[in-house]
Amino acid sequence: MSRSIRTMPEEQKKALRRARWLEGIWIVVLATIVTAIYFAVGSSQAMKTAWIEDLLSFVPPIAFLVGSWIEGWKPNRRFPLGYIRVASIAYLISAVALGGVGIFLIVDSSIALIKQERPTIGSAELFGVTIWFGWVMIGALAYSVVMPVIFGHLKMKPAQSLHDKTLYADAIMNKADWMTGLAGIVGILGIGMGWWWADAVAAIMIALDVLHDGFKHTGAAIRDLSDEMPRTIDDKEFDPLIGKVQKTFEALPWVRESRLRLREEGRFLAGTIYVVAHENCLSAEVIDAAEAKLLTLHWRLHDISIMPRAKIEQTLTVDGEDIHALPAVGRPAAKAHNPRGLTFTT
Amino acid sequence: MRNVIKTNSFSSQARRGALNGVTIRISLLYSRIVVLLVACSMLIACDDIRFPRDPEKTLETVLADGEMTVAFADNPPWVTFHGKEPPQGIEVDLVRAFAEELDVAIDWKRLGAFSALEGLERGDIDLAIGGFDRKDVTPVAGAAPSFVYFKEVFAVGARPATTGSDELEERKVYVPQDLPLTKIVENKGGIPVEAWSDAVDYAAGPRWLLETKGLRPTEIELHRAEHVMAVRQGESAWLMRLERFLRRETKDIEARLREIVQ
Repeated sequence: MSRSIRTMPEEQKKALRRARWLEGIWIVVLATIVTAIYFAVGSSQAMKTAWIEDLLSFVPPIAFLVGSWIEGWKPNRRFPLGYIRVASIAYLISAVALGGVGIFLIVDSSIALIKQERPTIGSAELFGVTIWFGWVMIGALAYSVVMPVIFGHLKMKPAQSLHDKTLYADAIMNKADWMTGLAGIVGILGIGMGWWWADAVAAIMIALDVLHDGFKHTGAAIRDLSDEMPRTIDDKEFDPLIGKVQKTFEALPWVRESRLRLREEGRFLAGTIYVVAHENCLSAEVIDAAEAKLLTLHWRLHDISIMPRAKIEQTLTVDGEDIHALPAVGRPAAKAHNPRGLTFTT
Repeated sequence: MRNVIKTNSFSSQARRGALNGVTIRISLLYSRIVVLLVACSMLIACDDIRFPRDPEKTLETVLADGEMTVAFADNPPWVTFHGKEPPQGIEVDLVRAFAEELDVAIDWKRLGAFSALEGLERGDIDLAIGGFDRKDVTPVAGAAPSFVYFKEVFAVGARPATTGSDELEERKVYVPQDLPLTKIVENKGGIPVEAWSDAVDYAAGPRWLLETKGLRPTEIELHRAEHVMAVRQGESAWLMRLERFLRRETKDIEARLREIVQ
């Protein structure tokens, strides 16, 4: 009964096609941006940092395209569960790349600041007129700002529809890209004002932003791969699907007590339900029927094993109190939302 | 239990409120930056505001003092120096014309190529010349190259009478002593010699010189020099002023070079 990218509903398939097109076009547009900035880098540290950030922006779309391609491969003897987790791996790769480069850029810019390297910007000849090269750099940066913001907005919808975290992180980064461009422009205007440090400071600001993104997404990717209970795509709260599955299952007449554990496998959800049934109610047929019912709840539900038990051991339940031990973003809000904590027992 | 839940949701609301506050403050900050940016551009648009500016005010100081300090390193035909006479050469002429345009005097300082470039960082030298290649200037911290005002291609020239392939293999090539091309000629398989005689059919040198001497430049390229002058790092206004001048006055460098040789 397992599902994959090939058995998604028509709406999601359409969104996937759209997302692939978007990312394909985006890679081409990004290439033009990277080229434009490359020719305008000059001696500015902020420009160099912005350029590397743009270069880095290739990783998420490529990870998405490759990931969603592999995800479509059929399960085989070596990988009987298919390749649905590739999406999580692609997300981790994008996030780690982001964080690593963030650190590199901060170190590089700080060295420029400490060594008091002074960026010198001379002239350029454009159509027979001699102008300050800084204007060319600012022009290139302005161009690098407009397109990502547009594409960021366009990618947001398919990312939510597909519950694709790589695509979502990519869209968020693109939308935030205008700040990078602006910081670069302020840095260059600073050089023009004779403030040699403005450029390196702007570069550090950009690098901090990159590092922040990398840190946030690496954390989310690692938690996904550590079988965290599923969370919404913006990582703000637990996925409402958990409650829906729980309620639907509890409503079955033969269920006396149950424990639900879900985890994310790429864009899909898989999990186990431990169940204590009322006496003489249990048969293979009712379990089959229950599983089929749960899988129709949402296209993301991929694989749910129903495990009948005589009694549910204390060790199998997640105690509501341990929630504070988990250093994760947005936990307090989630707790307020679900005051009993994460105790999905009946 | 109820109380606890209440407190919890209250504190989370308060936290959310604080978060909203942060977001508002951040967006305020960015709108301020945008306003600042617009204000800057408007200021820059005015003519009486000097933009770009020098962190160390080189241009201002030169104009105020009516004098600029120029370090030169011997490197004919760009800079030639004979004992007590003032320096001569193509770059020296350019600098004199530049000083005339600024209406300032020149304080010449004769230094080695490296100390000329290093002197820029300390700020006691305003401009350094010496037929510098861009690659000589970039590694020196504290020195910044101007744009490349002249590209010089060093090639192998053959006597017009030579025929057949121009392969250097086992052939004698005349390399003038002041050119660091010996190694490159050897790498290409040629045998560098120090004298130009009838036994030698090939010579290494800049393409313009080979042509002036009546040699036929071959396809064999040895080196490319990108000629620049050097200023103190970071002094964008001073560099802009120099480059404006150089862009106007260096269109005929090759003609001047030929003139000097003939």
